[in-house]
Amino acid sequence: MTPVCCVEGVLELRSVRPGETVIRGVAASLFLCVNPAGHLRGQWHYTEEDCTFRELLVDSYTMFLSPHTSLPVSLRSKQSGKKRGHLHLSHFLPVKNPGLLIEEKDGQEPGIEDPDVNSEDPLGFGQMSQAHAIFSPSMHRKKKRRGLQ
Amino acid sequence: MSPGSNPSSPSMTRVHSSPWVLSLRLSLLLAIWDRAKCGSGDGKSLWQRPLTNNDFLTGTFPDGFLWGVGTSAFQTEGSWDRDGKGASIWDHFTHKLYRMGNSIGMATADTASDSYALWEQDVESVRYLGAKFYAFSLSWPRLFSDGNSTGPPNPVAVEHYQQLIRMLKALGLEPVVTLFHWDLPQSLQEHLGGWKNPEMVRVFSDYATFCFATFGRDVRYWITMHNPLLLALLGYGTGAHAPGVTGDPADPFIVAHNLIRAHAESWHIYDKQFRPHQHGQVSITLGSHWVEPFKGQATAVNVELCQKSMEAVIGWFAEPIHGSGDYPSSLQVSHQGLIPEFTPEEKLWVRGTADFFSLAFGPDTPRAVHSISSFGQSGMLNLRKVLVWVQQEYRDPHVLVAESSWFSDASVGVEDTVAIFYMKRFINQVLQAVVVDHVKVFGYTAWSLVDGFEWNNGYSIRRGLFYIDFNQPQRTRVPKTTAQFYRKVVKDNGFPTNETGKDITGQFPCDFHFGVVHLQPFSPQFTDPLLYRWNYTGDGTLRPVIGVRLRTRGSQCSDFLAIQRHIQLVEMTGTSHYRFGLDWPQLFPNGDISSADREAVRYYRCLLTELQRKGIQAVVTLYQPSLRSPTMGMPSPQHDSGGWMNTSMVEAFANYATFCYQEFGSLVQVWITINEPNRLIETYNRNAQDRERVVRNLLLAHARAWNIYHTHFRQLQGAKVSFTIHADWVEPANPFVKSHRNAVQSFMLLELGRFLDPFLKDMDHPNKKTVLTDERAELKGALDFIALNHFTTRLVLSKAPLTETYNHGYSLMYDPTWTSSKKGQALAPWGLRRVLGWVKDRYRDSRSIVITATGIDDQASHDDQLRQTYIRSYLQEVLKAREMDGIDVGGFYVWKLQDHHGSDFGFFTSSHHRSQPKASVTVYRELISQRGFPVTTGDPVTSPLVMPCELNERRMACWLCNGLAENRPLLFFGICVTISMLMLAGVIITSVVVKSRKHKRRGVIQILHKKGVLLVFESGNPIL
Repeated sequence: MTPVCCVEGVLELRSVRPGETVIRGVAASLFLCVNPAGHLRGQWHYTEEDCTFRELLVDSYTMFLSPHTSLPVSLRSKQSGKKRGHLHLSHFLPVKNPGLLIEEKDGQEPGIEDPDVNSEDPLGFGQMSQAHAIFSPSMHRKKKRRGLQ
Repeated sequence: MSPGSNPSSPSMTRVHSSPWVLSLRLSLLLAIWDRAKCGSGDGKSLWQRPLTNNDFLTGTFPDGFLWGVGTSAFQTEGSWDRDGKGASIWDHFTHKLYRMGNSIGMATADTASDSYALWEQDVESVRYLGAKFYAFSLSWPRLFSDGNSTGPPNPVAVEHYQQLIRMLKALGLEPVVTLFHWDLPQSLQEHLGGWKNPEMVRVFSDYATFCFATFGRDVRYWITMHNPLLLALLGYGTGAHAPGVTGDPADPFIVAHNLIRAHAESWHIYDKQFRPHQHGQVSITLGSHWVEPFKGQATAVNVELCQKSMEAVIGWFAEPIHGSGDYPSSLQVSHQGLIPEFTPEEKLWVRGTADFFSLAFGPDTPRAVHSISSFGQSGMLNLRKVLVWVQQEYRDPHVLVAESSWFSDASVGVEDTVAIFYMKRFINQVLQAVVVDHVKVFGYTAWSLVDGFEWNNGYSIRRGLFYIDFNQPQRTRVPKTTAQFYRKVVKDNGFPTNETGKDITGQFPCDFHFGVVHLQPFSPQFTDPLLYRWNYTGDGTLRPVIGVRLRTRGSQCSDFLAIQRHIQLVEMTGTSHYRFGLDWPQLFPNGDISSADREAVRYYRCLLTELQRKGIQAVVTLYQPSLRSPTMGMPSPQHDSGGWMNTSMVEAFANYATFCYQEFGSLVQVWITINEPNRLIETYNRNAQDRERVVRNLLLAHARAWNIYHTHFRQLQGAKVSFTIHADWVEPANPFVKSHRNAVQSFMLLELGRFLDPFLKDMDHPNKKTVLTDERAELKGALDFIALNHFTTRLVLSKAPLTETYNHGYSLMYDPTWTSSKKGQALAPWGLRRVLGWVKDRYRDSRSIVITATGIDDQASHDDQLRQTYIRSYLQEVLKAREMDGIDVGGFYVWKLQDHHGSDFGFFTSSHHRSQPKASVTVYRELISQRGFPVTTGDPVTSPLVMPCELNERRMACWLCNGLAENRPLLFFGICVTISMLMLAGVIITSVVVKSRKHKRRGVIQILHKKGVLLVFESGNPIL
């Protein structure tokens, strides 16, 4: 992440699967998670079952459903909600961060990693695949990298 | 032979002390000072402007290019104490470590490759390669056991080297002689402290003088020392090399300083005393690494650091000798206080003391410097860029690549397949530097001739072109496959021909299918009669209102807006054929005919009708298995009951096929039953017996579907039926290994033979065990044409012989020098022609072959140059197969019409990206309109000679009806006016007729009325 994007972004939302999102506070570098009792908290380490939220698009805004209770996430404290008589739910409006996208693209560029000069095959010329994994464009969807076909 | 003019360097002659010479020196000094301040060369631009033409270059080196091979004395000679040889620092170092049981693997070089005794075998090996020179080094302690060259030499050693040189000369081989390759006499280390002592400058130049005087008559190329950087860094810095001195950070710099001065002194001696009558050239071999900016980001800071990295390694020695006469300023700044200073006189005296640039590019230098001199940048192995950097930094010198190769692990042995690709890549990078960048490289040294003692790696890594078993006392030299490869490169003087050969001109016949493929176009129309209410309970969801049903209008083909748009794309490519797959689960949701979805049927009928109306032939795939589909493209009941493992699939597929023939048959010109059954079977990750069952069911399903069509539909509908097979080509990974060559045939039999043999061959097909005799009769001939999906070529290697039950005995890889796509698909057009040749040779069948899918992924969203090249070059190969090999290829279908998401295989971007055409659409369209590669007339104004086709005429006619269709309102209005006029005329005529012949009135009106109905009907018909 470049410093510029960190200054401007408050929460980093990453989609891990269709409809499933991981939320991280940029300044604190904490993952937003829910413990099995349904309490929100920040965690240093990502755990899939606690920190993956289901995304629900409502009225152009996004709501996040808790992984355990499937209740929408509210960022207000209980007290401030109680004063008005009901709990306020948080609506999010995620904005694409071009800085982040560029960074991810660069990271995937092949051949950027330093070759291992202590290897007999530093450029991976001898990377082989087994014949039972032959790639065909009309059959397969994706091919990760050469050699891993 | 000569790399250039003999050096004439006035500034390098010894300085005399007369006043005007002094002033000249001063101005020269100022000039040098200026140059040093603003950086010596233009090497930095390499990181700012990337080099062009990075693909593998076909071509040869200039005439007279010197091909050679090299060794060094200590690594190969052995006989460490024979015939009066003294110990070198490396003898001492290895013996000491051997006693301590060190990590070198208890290895010494006491015998090594035994080249001192077997030198004639070495010369024989050089001849095997066809090389023009042999680069070797003299053993200083062999010639002078105490290193003192002012005393008498060891006569046996002198005779040994003289014999070697004489033999080389007699065979027409040029000796390239290195004076010092790190094996300093141990006594000089003990008495003088080795290279830390400035006295070494004189001691070395005495030794050099002796060598020039003794051997110089026959030596044209002298190298004073080999890669002194490693001696300084590893010998006096880390201690990994002899003499193993560590501790003082200034030592490497002092050592380097003395090495440079010793070299310069020797050069001056040769220049003055020997050059006039010996006419040789002297240089010093300098090792280099290469760096690229961190993460490929060529920021000003990164570029500066890259340059600094190069200056700290090769520049350390090259800048004094080939550049300004002083150390690079970046190195002086970073090592202030450690690095000695040259006096102004020394700078002039050191500068220019090399007659050509001798470059070493192998594993040793990158391995030594990658942790200390990378400055956070990325190390890379790019010999071409090093050569261009040298060209730009040191004023375009003549260059000898004096050491080049990577290494293999000792276990690799003789079949060093991977090493071939490193050699191929490095030599091609030199060719690119010569041809594209005009670097004056005049020679290349493959390193090394024989396996030897690899310094601190002992015998655990190998760099020889000839294999040696160090446990064998005979030390037999066995050529590795790299030796065979190098021999071919030397013989060809490069890479004169590519596999593709020259393009030919010619056209495809009128009935040739130019096609485009799409996976499964389907977009059901929204015809929901329910009424919904949003957010009624405040939960933000849509809920249907119970009890309300809306009236929807009857469905029409024009509801499917997507069809119009989709076919517009097909039309833009100009193809005559469009191939797509039906969605089996969509048509049969519950897997049988009772559940047939009429809406889906209607959609496909609309699509096919519209295609027919546009004059585009439909090629329909019944079953297109895809990993996109969770059920592998079959209805879920079939998938759940085991898919193709279950024999009932044959019946289910036959029923489905019959249904499709009935519903769509009148609109389909070609049927493909099953797409790529050879890929489909791999999804059944089971034992070999199960896989054979899957194969059997697939073959029978196709045969059943073909027979049904043949018996019940062919007469009426007249389409062709086949199945497609994934038919990529393979080449042997190592053409010099028999098992790799055999693997090609075994692989093709497993991939193609397994599926095509039962249909096209009488006996002996691999499935005879699994397919019963009566079934065999059902398969035989059940194929109207051979359909191949071909995308790329791979390399195959096999360790075990292949069998039909065990097919994992071989591996696949790519030739890294091939151009390839982002997804790693290699562009190897000749592979297509070879597949066609293989099929023709095997079956000798009269059926035509159709390339039912071919294409490549390209990241470009518009200018997809890789795809353009792919389409042109692969279509060229089809033409060659037709014209030159006499193979009846009937069609060429490009995969595929449109991207799904991002830039991929599509001619058009995805609908999210507004279905924009890429540049390859125009290329393909032009190829189609010219029907291939017609002979162009000399005059650029006149168009190529294109013979007209009926097809074109039909398209013209269709264009006319399109024109009419587009002006529908006008046409309708016109017809209305005509009818009115006719009616009016009719009324008038009638009234006239009534007056004259009352009894004929009724019939006339009827006729006119019929005509009017007919016209209205026609105007409404063509549009959906």
